[in-house]
This record gives sequence, C-alpha cells and structure tokens, in this order.
Amino acid sequence: MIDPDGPDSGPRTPVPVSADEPPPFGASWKALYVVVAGTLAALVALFALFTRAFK
Amino acid sequence: MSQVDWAVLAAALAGMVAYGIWKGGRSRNTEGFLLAGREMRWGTVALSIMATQASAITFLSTPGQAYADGMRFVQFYLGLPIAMIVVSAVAVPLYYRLKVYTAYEYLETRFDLKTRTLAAFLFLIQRGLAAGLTIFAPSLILSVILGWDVRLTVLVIGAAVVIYTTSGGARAVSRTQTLQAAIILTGMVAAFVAIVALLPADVSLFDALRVAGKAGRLKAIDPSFSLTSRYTLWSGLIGGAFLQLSYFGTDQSQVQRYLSGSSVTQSRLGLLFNGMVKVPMQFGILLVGATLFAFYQFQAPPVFFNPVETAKVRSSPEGPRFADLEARYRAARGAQEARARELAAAMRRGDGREGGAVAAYRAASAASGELRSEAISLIRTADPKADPSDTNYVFLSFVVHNLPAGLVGLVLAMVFAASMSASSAELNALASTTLVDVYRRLLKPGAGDGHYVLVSRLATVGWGAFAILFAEYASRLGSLIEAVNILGSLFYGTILGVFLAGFYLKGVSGTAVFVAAIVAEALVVACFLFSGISFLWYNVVGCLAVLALALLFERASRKPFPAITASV
Repeated sequence: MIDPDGPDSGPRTPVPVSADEPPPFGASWKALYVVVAGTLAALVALFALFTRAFK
Repeated sequence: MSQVDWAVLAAALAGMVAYGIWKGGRSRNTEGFLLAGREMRWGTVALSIMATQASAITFLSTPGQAYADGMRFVQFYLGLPIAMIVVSAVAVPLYYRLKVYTAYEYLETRFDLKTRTLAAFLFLIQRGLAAGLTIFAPSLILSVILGWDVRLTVLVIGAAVVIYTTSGGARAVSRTQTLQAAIILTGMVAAFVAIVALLPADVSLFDALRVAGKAGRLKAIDPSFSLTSRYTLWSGLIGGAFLQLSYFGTDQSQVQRYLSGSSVTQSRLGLLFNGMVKVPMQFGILLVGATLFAFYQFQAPPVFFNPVETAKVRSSPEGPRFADLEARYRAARGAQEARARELAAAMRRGDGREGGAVAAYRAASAASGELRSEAISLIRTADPKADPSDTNYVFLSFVVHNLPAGLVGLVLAMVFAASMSASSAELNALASTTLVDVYRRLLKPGAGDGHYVLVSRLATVGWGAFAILFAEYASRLGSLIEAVNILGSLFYGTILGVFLAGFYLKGVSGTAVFVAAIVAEALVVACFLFSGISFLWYNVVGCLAVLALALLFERASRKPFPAITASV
C-alpha cells in the first residue's frame, strides 16, 4: 500500500499539483524561460567582447 | 594569523553550527528531516541550490585556476542556464506530481526496482566520494597555515558539519546556507577589493588587467570546436548542459534542495534565479584569480605556492640548489616586473610601440617560467611523491601574506562556510537516498516514522565518517575543482540517460535501460582510461549511449527468433 505522505516502499501514484500555475511575475513560464536563455546569450556576447578587449 | 583573525574565524564557525542547530529545530518525521517540511520560499531555495553547488573548492581552486590557466573555465558553466530551464519545465512538475523524496523513486514508478537501485547506488558512490573532497578542501587551509596534521583538520570540519546536519536535517541545511551565502559574498568581495588596493600606486586595475590579457589570462570565450580541448564555448554549452542537467535533474543533493520548496512555482523560481546569476558569479570568482595574476606581475610571488613542499625541499640535500634557484627566480621576476610596467605604460600611451613591449614582457615571463619549472622538478627530485600542482594554494597564499588582520579571518571563514554548506547538503542527500532507496525500500519496509528519522540521523553520521576517511586520500588529486568535476562526469551522463529514457522513450522497458546503463558506464570509463576526450564530453557519451542502447536492446528483445517463429 502506498503512503502518499511518507517515504514509499514501491512505485508512486501521481497526485495532482498546480504545475500550470502562472509565475508571480512575467506573462508565463515560457516567457521566463526566454528571459533566462536571453541572459545566457547576452553573457556569451559580453564575455566574447571582454576577451576581445583584453586580447 | 593574528588574534583578531582567530576571533573572527572562531566566531563564524561557532555561529554557523549554533545557527544550524537553532534554525533546524528537532524534526520528528521524515518529511521534516529530509525535505524541511516542503515549506521553503524561492529565495531560500535559490540560495540553497547555489550554496550546495559552490563548495569551498569553488572559492579555493577557481581563483588558482584563473591564475594558472586564465578565465576560460567560465565556459564550463554556460550549459547551466539551459539545464535550469529543462529541469524547471520537465523534472520539477514530475517530481511534485509523484511526491517523491528522492529522484530515484521516479525510476521505479517508470521502470522497475533494479533500475532505481542502480541509479541510487551510482549516486551514493559518486556523491560519497565528492563529499570527501568537499571536506578536504578547507582542511587543507588550516593544515598549511597552522602546520597542523591535515587529518586533524579534516576531522574538525567534518564533525562540525555532521553535528548540525544530524540535528536539524534539511531545514538546518537550508537555513544555515543563507547565513553561509552572506559570509561567502562578503569574503569574496573583500578579497577582490584588497587585491585592487594592493596594486602599485602607478598601476590602475585597468592597466593590470591589460597586462594579464597580454599573458592570455583573460580569454573567457574560445569559439573553436575541439573534442580534446578541455574548455570551449561548445563543450560548455553542449557537454556542460548535459552535466548540469544530470546534476540538477538527477543528483539528490540538488533535487532535495528544490523539493523543499513549498510549491512547483517556488522551486521553479529558485532554479531560474540560479540560472541567471550563477554564470556571472563564476565569472566574478575567476576575475578575482585573474586580478591576482595581474597583482603578481608587479610583485614577485613565491617560486612555488605550497609552503609545505618548499619547506621539504629546503631541508633536503637539494636545499642549496633550491635556494640558488629561488634567488635566480626573484631576479627574473624583478626583470619581469620592470617589463610589465613598461608594457602597462606603452598600452596607456597607445603610441604604436606596444608590440615591442609585449615581446619583451613575454620573453621575461618565459624566462621566469622556466626557472619555476626547474624549481618544481627539484621539488619532485627531493620528494618523488610531492604534488607538482600548487593551483589550490595560490589564493590562500595571497590571503595569508597580504591581507590585513581581520580580513584573513573573514576570508578563511568564507572558505569554511562554503565547505560546510556544500557538504551538509551532500550528507543530507546521502542520508535520504540511503533511507528511502535502500533501507526503507530494500531492508526494512513498514517501520515507524520515528525509526526512519533515527536511521536518517545514523546515515548522516555514517556518510560523514566515510567522507572524512576519503578526505584523507584527496591530497594527490591535483586541481580539486577539476577532480570533483571529472569524478562527476564519469557517472552523470549515464544517470541522465536513464532519466531521459524515462521521460521521453515511452516504449522502453526497465531491463533494456538497466543493461544499457551498465554498458554505457563501461564505455565512459573506457573513454576516461584510454582516450584523450575531454571530460565534459563524457556526459554526452554516457547519456547518448544509454538512450541509443536502450532503444536497441528493447527492439532486440521484442524481435522474435526466426526458428521459433517458424516452428510456431
């Protein structure tokens, strides 16, 4: 028998969670993911400029 | 070290242990002990995730890495934001839906018990060894500074972590990590400001960095594609993404941190915040190392940064030759310093005569570099077992010999804080997996919650003892930051492949994945032993091998044998 509130001793049964709840800021989770990816792209560009400036 | 430094260090250490015991409380059930009652807000989750990954190794070895090898190590972290997005979108809602305590529970739900157990054991081996390295790094400091036996310092650090982790579990780990993060940030900023303040009056930070740039230390991005070059843009983005995906998506020491979030939203926000600030943070730490390199272009460093090894060679029959080498090295560094000043002045003037100054500086740098190589050879002659790498001592040597009273204690407290935050999370995760995936699942199901909390505490103590024992053997692993990442890369690809097969290969069974994982792990070990492939690519090899082989084995197992088919 599965105890959903304790460490199990076998396979789990999924329980509903609010996975699609919107983030507290930003239009959607997808928009937040784009912001994170955009930050990465900007950092790579900045690091490339840094490398070039001190070459 | 002055008395002020001792006071700062002692207060910080005692404060961290006391704070951990106080904030951790006394958890009476497994959810409280292993997942902090699932009540953390995203800010605490984010700090906890960052503090778990950034161990003392990060703050000791990374500046030394930049000093010796330049800024290119930052590329190692470029895959992290990608991993944060994937983990947030795929793994977090899945783990919350299943209400798991460990990531490996998912594998039994998706595949079978043996696949879950294999992944749990791979984690226990890899993370148990890594926990030893995490404790060893700061122990190195005290043993070097005080001349203490490293075994004693390992024991002191390990015991401090075990005390509050055993007492308060995951809540103590997360709450203490916020305090430790504050100490770490203060210490690192103080060290950087001190390096800049100690530059000669006629050399600005910009001048110093330009000299470091001419020495090749500020090359942060290498866009070339090479399977054998350790850090490039592509190995970081691709290999690094696989490594970080495995670390954050399947390593219990991280999964446990974000599962302590009060909801999917809180966990996701914590992970995404980490995705945005981790890369700039690592850049900043590397910049401290590069600035330290620039500082030593205007002031002679010791010929070798490990004082224990230099003391040994001085007292050996090679002592007089070493003293002569040291004198020649000091003279060569004097000449190099003069060339560095000329180079800085030429670059400031910008009158087109920079080329000659660069050539003169590089020639002087090469001359002193040869003398340093001779000194290292002599150290090895005096003691063939001596560690030829002094990367881990560069930052500490600077701190102890150059920072004012009080700041030395603060920086040392920073290193201790980093070590304790990472190793406490590791011990907590090792205890969780031992309890949930091994003890409760395989050895003693159905016991009371109080019994399981007790076993969790005993497992924390047990893994603490294992980590302390392994730490005794960690001194010969070269650059610690690389050692721990290479160790992780040997296992992470395979574990990630097992989880990705679960997420995306719907028709594949547990047996096919189990056999594929064993073959893939053998392949990764063969790459490590017999090929020149850089370690970041092991993550790609292991992961893709599991996925491809699982599909192959599944297909082969379903294909009927012709003879049998014919008879039927």
